Parts: sequence; structure tokens; C-alpha cells
Amino acid sequence: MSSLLEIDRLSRHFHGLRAVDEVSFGVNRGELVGLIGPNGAGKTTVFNCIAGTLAPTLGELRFDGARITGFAPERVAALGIARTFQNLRVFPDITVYDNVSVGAIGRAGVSFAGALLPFLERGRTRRIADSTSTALERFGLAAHAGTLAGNLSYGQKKLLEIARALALEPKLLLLDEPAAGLNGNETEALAVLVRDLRDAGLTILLVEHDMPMVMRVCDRIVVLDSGRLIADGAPAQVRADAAVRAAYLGDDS
Amino acid sequence: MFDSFVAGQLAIGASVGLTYALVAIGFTLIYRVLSAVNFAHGEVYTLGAFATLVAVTTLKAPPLAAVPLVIVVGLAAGLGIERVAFRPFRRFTDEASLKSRAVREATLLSSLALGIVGREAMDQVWHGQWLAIPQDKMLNQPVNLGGVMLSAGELAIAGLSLVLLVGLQWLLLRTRVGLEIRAVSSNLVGAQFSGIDINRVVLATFAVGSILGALAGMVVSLAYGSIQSSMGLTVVLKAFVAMVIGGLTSIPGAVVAGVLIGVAEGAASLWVASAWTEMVAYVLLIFTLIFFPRGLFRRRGA
Repeated sequence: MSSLLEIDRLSRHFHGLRAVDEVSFGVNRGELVGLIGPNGAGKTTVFNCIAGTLAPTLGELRFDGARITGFAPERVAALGIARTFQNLRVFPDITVYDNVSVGAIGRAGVSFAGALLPFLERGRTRRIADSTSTALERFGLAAHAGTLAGNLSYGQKKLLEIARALALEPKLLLLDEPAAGLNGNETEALAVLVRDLRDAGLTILLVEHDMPMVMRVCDRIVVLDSGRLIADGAPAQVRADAAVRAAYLGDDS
Repeated sequence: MFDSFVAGQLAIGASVGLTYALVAIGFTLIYRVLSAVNFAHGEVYTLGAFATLVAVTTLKAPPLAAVPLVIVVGLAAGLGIERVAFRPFRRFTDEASLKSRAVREATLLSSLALGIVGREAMDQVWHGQWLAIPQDKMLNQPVNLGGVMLSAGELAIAGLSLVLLVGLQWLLLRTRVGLEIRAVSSNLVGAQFSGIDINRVVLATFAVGSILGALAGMVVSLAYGSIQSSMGLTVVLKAFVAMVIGGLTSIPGAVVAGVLIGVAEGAASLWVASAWTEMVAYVLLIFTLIFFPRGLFRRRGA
């Protein structure tokens, strides 16, 4: 297995606070990696640095062999990294179908002529329609295609956001706390879905607070504490790690 | 009671209202995408009128041949406004700044300032005079529409409003650029992470909106024949009122509200001196805000 994403001594400081401090790890192709740690450990900051929301203070990010340190979000997305958000970023006042279409467009790219006169580019237009429909089917959202996204339930919005990210046909999917706010059944369905995506060959980096889910679905787990990497290994290994227990799992393990 | 004088006043009001509507289309489009008011839009309208004047006098072109020049002028003005008054405030790309009220209010002031600079500059160039489009170039041929006399120019204003409105709805709802524009206006950050280049979409919006504004200036100057450097000021304020009454983000709403304001002004002129009719739009605005605080045509979820 080769590394799809390499994080090399990544640091991000906020006014002297080292939110992320020299963190290095990799994500191999086809691997489902969990990124965990107590609140304030720096998980979301790492995510934001990868996705281009934040520029790293120090360190380097490589994706598919090329340097992506400090790239703008739309550029990172175009290279094949899609992300979802802890607090949702769906487009509330456009339809479910169009929400997913936006992702598909991001992938297919837009030429000026094709943008204004879609019939000039039938092939591309059809590909966008196809990947949109496929994504909707897969997430059981096809019945809601014409609904405004703002009218979906919270759980459906979470799924919609993943569907939109997948319509980008990414090489790497970043999921930021997808189970937050979901009930037991929804979390269960989500775990199955995430595992299916991984089995279909997608590389995934998952930030999640729901420990049982992370332990069950992930191939490997990276643990952060106060901005530092304290463990990196298989779920069983991480579970047994003394530093991790002390920092994070604490009493409930 | 519905004699031809009343009908005539209402028709004039409607055609003036369509002018507001025409300007409100581009103005509302830009607001919809950026949630920012572009007060320099009125000067784009004025520039469109001056470009028309130059085309028909200096270049001796027939009225409709002014269209390409007006489009180029509108495009250049729109891109210039975006670059000078809006882009500098988007350099903070973190989410808090993108959503910040302060940044939006800053662009309101920067566009207002740029509009004033543009207006003063045009005032210097044309000495603040009312300039006239030559009679033979004007669209002033009378047209009899079921007993109500209108000029060809007034019909052109109505026709252009309708075409632009339908065209814009088509652009927004049926094309990929339109979907990108709607995505950016719905959730800037989500759009960015879906691979949309925000700067490109914002530029496209300013280009389209400003071309519409310049075309409005062209048709209005051809219809009424007189041009002055501050002509954009009252119109942009009426367009702003129309946008608010129409529900802020609804382009058809702004058009209906624009016509409504014009008709109300026409109706008011039946009872009060014409100088007082300027107040009508603002009175309507106050009543709308009291009784329909979200505007008359606010879209769901917006």
C-alpha cells in the first residue's frame, strides 16, 4: 500500500497556542483511518489544514505525491479531497438534487460555453446527471430529490452532505463527526455506509467522538492530545495503549 | 372615474416603475449572491446612459447599435467595482470573516464611496448638465395600446424588463453557472468545499448584474432622452426600496415591487404635487416593513 495523504510535521499555531504541534501521519490508499482525541486535541484543525480552510504554520502536506500545503479549498477539492462538516454546510434553499449536482459539477468542471448552454456538452451534462442520481439512490434520498434541502431532517441533511461530497468522486473523503447528533439507528446505518464506502475502495479519514463506531469501522486510528500525536495503530492496539487511556479513553474503557 | 387621464398617469407610473424594476434586477442579483448591497450600481446605470449618448452622437450609430458598447461598458464597470469595492474585503477567507456583518457593511460603504467618486467624476466630465439624446435617435414613436398612448421607448423598457427577468431566471435555474451562483448564495463555505471557485462566481455575478444595469441606463435614456451624471442616484435608491419590499432575495419580487412603486407614484400624482411623489416609495417601504417585515415575496428558507 502506498500513502495517498502524507502529513509531515504539521503545526498550526493560534496566537502562540500550538493547536497542532508537529503531527505526522499518513493515510494509505483504500484505508479507513480514524482521527480521535479529547476536545481541543486539534482534530478539526488538522482537518482544516488538509482541506485548505487554514494554512499550516509549519510542516507539509502531500496528496497523491504532490505538495498541497496552503492550497485554497476549491483547489484541494478539485484535486480529489472532499469533506463534510461537523455543523452542516448543505445549501438549504436549493433542492436536494441540485445540492448533489453542485458536487458533481465541481468534479466535471465547467467550461464557459457549457455553463451557459448545457446542451453543447451532452456527455458532460449526462455524466453530472448520472453521478447525481447514483449518489441520491445510494443514500436513499432519491424520493426527496425535489425537496429544498432546508426541509430535510437532521439525519437526512448529514447524509445529503456525504452524498454531495461523494458526487465530487473524491480520492479521499474527510468526514468530520458524521455521527454527531444522530440517534442509535442512524449511527448504525452510518457505520455500515462508511464501511461500504471503504470496501468499495474509497480512502477515508474520519474524525468522530462515537468511540464504539470508530473502534468498529476503522482500519487504523490516530490519536491526538493537546495538539500532539500520541498513538497511531490498529484499534485494538490503540485501545490498549496506556498513553491513550490516560489522555482520552480514561474511565469509560 | 377611470378616465383616460387617470389611465395615462397610471401607465406613466408603470413605465417609470419598470425603470426601477430594470435597475433592481441587477442590484438584487448581486445582493442575492453576496448578501452585500452594491450602491455603485446606480453609476453603472448612468454610465450605460452616457455610453449610449456617445454611441449615437459621437459615433453617429443608430440607437440599437449602441448595445455592444453599452455591454462592454457595463462589463468593465462591474468588474472594476468588484475589484475595488468588494474583493479587498474578501481577503479574509476564514469562515467568521466571510459571514461577518462588519465585512458586508464595509462593502456597502465602499461601494457607496466608489459610486460617489464615479458620480463626481462624471459630473466633472459632463459639467453636471442635462444632456439630450437627439430627437431622431430616441425611441419616442407613439404607440396606441388599447386607448392608452405609450411611447416605443416605454414599451422597450417593459419588453427589456421581461426578457431580462425571464433570461435571468433561466440562467439561475437551468444552467450550471446558475447552480453555482445559487450554491454560493446559499452557503459560501459549502460551495467552496464542493470545488467552486468563489471569486469566479462573484465576478460572473458582477459581470451579469452590471451589464443589466448598463442596459437599463441605455433603454431609459433612449426612451426619455435626457441624461445627467446624478441620474443613477434616485433610481438606485428606488431599486433598493424595491428589493427590500420584494423580499431582499427575490428577483421577480423586486420587479413586481418596482412596478408597484412606480404605479403608486403615478397614482399619487393625481392628488398631490409631483414633487411630493418622491416620498411615496419610502412611505411604501415603511408600511411594508411594519406589516410584512420579511418583504412581500420572500423565498422560503432564505
